[in-house]
Amino acid sequence: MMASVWQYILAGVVVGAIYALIAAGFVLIYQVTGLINFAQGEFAMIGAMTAASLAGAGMPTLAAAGIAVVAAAVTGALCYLLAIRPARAATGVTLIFITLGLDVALRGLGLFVWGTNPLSLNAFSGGTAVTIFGGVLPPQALWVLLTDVLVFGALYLFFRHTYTGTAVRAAVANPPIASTFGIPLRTFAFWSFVVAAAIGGLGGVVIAPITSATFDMGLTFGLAGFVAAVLGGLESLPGALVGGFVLGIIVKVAGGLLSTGWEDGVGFFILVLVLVLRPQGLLGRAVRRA
Amino acid sequence: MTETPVLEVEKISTVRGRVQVLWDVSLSVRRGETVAIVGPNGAGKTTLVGSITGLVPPRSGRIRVNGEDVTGMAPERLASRRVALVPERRGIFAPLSVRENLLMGAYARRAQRADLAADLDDVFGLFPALVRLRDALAGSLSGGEQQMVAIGRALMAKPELLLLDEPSLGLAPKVRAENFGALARLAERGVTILLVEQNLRLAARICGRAYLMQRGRIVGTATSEELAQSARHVYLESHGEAPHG
Repeated sequence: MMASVWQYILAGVVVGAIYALIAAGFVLIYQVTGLINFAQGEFAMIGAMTAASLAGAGMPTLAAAGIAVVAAAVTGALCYLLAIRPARAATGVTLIFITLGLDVALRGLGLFVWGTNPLSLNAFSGGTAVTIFGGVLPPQALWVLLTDVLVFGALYLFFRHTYTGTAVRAAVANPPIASTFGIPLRTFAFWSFVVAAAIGGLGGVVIAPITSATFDMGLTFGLAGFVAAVLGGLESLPGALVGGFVLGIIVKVAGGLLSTGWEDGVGFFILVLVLVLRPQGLLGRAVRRA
Repeated sequence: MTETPVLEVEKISTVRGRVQVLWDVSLSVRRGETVAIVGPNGAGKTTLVGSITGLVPPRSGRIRVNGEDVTGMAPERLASRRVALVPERRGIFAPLSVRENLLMGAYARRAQRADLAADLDDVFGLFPALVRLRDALAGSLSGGEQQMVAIGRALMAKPELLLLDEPSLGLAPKVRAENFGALARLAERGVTILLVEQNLRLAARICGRAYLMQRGRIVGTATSEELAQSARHVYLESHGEAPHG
């Protein structure tokens, strides 16, 4: 029994790492634009399906992965330029509906281009599975965890140790005043979509060898990423990281002990619990409203 | 030939929501001048500053900076014309350190690292109290220290025109005096300043002349002597003494 739970936890860590990447995309866009982008999960689908189809056509896996991330980034750029920016004067609710529309549109595009059959992608490297205290991690799981380390490390370095990253934090802290010092809010909004999409696409690419790629995988990953972002407080990248892992572990343990059919339900139950009991997230501080 | 003013505001009218706040406001500031806009709460002073900086674009009228028409220009573009703002209630970037706040002031200049270091030293020279706070989060500072950060941040833009919106608001008298001492030194250096202020005595201390604003209109002008005299009248009246002269 304990051995099984440990294995579920390891599986949760792997899938949680992907949730954390998607959650990071939610947080980036929310912080810079104030918008919750419900199409975030579809960037993972674009990444996974593009990589799997290119590799299936004979392209080396890593080259296909690189192109897939670029494809996801371009999709993010187009989403911003064609759907979000023209409606920037709209209310928050309208913009949220636009992102829901984008989510449906991108999933439809996935269905149109790739059909309903799952596509497989080879693991990035061979090698034997790693055993940790009796639990087993496939080699691709190490790639997934390495991706998290690299992405979150790069984001940390960018925001804390670069001039432009500091300017983004200034723009988040006080947008109108930041603009009076020449900090380009719209340019940052554009790049938040591009980077969030690239990170989502990368998440889809690295998880595809484990889960395979399907046209509707974005829905599951998008919702899980959103729950992870809310768990983390929606305003913090470390929160997204913690939220992703916590959600992944809870969902996989619950799914393993009950039934895999319960995984999504448990995820939503956690979302409701967090919104009711701790809306500021696991790492956030409560704000008292007068 | 007369020199082009650094700032010319020509008959601007500005609407916020459904309410017209400014009515045909005109003023000008020449290079090296320190000019005050004084008036009671609700006179439209902050909206006027917002219109000049592009945060609240005017509905009609013209705004020129060094002769260039900047009416309705987005704030991020106007920043490259070296117009810097010390906003009402300071508007610091609370989660950033003092040093980071100051560096953000220079964003539009795209300056070299060495130049930025020299400019930081210049600001720390003007506000020595900030030296030991350089790595502290700006949001954790006192109001007076935050005001120093806000002024220092604007100076990092190397402004041709420095706009200050109520820099004395909510500060203790001692801190106010220190900050206005720094502003006086800036004025002596020749920095062109447009100061929005309710405190007539402080405004008279550093400004050569003033525009008087009421209910969204410029209703008169005053020299610094007249401003100081008015401040004295207000002081005496508020202390129950009859003003003389």
